[in-house]
Amino acid sequence: MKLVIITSCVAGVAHSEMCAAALKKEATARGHSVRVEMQGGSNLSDMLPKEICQSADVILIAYAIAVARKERFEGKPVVKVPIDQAIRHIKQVIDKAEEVYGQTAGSERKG
Amino acid sequence: MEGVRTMAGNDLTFEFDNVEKSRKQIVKEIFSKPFDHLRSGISYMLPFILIGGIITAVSSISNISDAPIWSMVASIGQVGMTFFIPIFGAYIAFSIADKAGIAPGFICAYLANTNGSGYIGALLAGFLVGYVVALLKKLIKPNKILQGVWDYFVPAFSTLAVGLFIIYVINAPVARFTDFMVAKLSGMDAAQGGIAGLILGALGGVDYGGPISKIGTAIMFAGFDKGIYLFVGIAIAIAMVPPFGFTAAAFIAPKLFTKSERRYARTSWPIVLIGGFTELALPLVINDIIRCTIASFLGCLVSGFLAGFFGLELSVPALGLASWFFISSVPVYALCVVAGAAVTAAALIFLRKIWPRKNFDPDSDDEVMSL
Repeated sequence: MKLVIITSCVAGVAHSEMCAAALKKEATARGHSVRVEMQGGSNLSDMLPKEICQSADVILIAYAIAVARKERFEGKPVVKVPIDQAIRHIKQVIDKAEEVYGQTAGSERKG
Repeated sequence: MEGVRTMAGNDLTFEFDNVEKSRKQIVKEIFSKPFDHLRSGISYMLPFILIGGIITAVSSISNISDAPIWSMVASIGQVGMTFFIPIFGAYIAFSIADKAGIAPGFICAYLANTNGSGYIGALLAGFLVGYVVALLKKLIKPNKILQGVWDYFVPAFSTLAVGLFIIYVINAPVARFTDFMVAKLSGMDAAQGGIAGLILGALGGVDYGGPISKIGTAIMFAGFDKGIYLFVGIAIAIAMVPPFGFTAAAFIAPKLFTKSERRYARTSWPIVLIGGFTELALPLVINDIIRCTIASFLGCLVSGFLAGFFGLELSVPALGLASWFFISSVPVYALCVVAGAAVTAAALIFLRKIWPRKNFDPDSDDEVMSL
């Protein structure tokens, strides 16, 4: 599964990075290919371009504030979870992303 | 796929975008999670306050120098301080209604603020116009030809309608309420200050810079906007307590921490003292949430109470090292931070001794999530 992970927190100093790192580690360990973007604070360096987002299978968003540049995800399956919950349930969050991937891949095959 | 689903047995809630949703679900989603919108507003307004505040503080050099440049510096800082409120409203509306909400939120929050309803009026304005824009855009979908016109019309109409509503209906009562609150909160004596400190300490001490502490932050900024600097003083006294307390505990009772936790404490204490933000405690909390949160809560109560009781004030919202330069009383500040950290460290050590951690291995080198 090609996964795009977006984390978005208020100050962009802690929760974003920690959660992104943990989610990336778990997803990579399961063999998925992962791209990460951390929002919040003033980071602009790791902004993912639209092509990357459109080529992903699932967009996973762990957030405490509104997510910027949502237009990039148009038409893609998006799973959102509050970031303070995600940090404590990393495995279940990746489980859910896999579940959504299974559902959408399945319905694509049917269609 | 369902719109929202709760996993049985734990508190994970997922939401899904780009799926079919009923009108009822759409409306429900627009009005759900108001705190997300509040936090978004705060997140985007923070740089305006921080930059405006620091620059204004720099301009206070004009007290010892007559050079005209310092009043220029002051006016630069002023711009930040003036516009953080409309930006607050703009990004509350952005969180609700995406880009279409930004300009309406800005304009309506500006109207509220300049007509006396201040921070609270701006907050209401952001929410109100955000909801109007979101509802109009998501519930009414004209055909392809008219869609472009509608996209243009909705924000403009919403701004006008909500703007008029704010001027004629909202401003007067909110301004009265704001003035009343300011009067009450400006003249607090030691006991009342102590209570305020306890409340802000309770809010700030439980989630390490997370959503609950941001409620305290919102209250602090509301007061700050009206020149109440006590809450800022209390908040800064609280912020450093959890990371400082945990790090101190790691040095005092190293056997109660894993190898990687001790390493984190050793390498992070300079950042704790210089940066001073609560989130730094998180890597030490993740593997022992309950005990750490109790210890953090108690320490922040103590620190907050002392800060409120002694009337600690901070007129520039600066964190960490910078705050020592602008704080109203360095001895009081030091007292609060040290007392709070001491209570936190003692509580954590005590809790771990009478109620040891499960599967605890002091030599474990499992990677602690670093910042």
